[in-house]
Amino acid sequence: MCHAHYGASKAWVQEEQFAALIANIPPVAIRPWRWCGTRFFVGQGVFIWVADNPADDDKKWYSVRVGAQTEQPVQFLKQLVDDKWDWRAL
Amino acid sequence: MTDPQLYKWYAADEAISLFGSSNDARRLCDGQWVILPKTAICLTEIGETTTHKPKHISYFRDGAEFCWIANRRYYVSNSPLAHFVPEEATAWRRHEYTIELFVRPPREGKYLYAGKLAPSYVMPYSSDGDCGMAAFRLEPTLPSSIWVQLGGIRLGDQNVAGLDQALARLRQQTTVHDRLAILQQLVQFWHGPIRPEDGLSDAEMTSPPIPLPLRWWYRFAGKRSEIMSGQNILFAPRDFETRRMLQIVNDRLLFYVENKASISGRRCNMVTTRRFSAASKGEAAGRRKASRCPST
Repeated sequence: MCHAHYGASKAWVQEEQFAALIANIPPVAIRPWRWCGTRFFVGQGVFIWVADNPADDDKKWYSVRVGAQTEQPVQFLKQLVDDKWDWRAL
Repeated sequence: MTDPQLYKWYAADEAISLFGSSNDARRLCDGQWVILPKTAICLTEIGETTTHKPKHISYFRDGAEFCWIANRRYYVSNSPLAHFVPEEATAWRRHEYTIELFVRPPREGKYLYAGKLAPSYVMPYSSDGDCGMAAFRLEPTLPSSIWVQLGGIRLGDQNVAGLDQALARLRQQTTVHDRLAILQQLVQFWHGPIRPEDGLSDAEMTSPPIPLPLRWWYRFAGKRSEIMSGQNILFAPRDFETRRMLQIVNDRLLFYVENKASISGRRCNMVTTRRFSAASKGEAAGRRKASRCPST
């Protein structure tokens, strides 16, 4: 993911928004990593890294980074990403 | 004056004349910055985007961020620790100037108009190392086709369907060799073909005994250190390009380190288990709530 030329990332993503991000991207069938339950989703040229980011409330929060080699696969993010995201290259 | 045309090539004088008279222009940093009454123009060469450091030529970090590198020591501003970049291009003068970016590959005659830059807020500098860097947000985002044309990136194998099929095999029972073949396909998707000379030879593998996947990696692409070392560092099996070397620490193989060295990759009990563990400090950090930065 460090090599992604395009994409977006945000440290605090709520569950509904996370569900929208991965709606069409299948999970990579490997066990979650030890570090914060890191998981990956890959499909159609989109790569998503996600880690649990628990807070002191009842909601589920995630840190998410979405990346791609070219801009086309991540154009769907334009509907989901706003200027509150930490990194945007879309 | 006419507006510049996005992704069109201009001679330097032609580019400057789009924004004002050459007579009014102040040229700084060996002409890489041209300051007009309301416009700061960056005319610079760019190199390939890479995770390798140090960097000696400007580059696009991603499609929306441009990093201008001072290739030698410049003193063009009174701003402390940012004396290497004109203050007209920084946040101190952000309401006074628009910033226009023209870039070219090394030894190219003309410059390509790449868009507008937001004033820089990030200007790292070290007195004993590099000569300074200023990061700028670029509008609009640089298309990958233009970036390739500039020589800034090389795209790998863009067979998306093939990669999806390979990763789908992970849903079935696989051997370690199956998984390494999938990893190979993934790496080539991102980084293009891996050549035989990108791997380490037997003679270069003068390391302690190491697990099969790690040995496989070094043989496959051990000289392509940028692939596995983004902000973290995969150690080398020998003193190669002054990279950190594999080492045995307390009967464990130390092969990877997180960028701040608070997490390191070690293989527990080299003989009997294949599980890699985090150092105790990292595990403690992982248990804290809402207080860590997991973007490593």
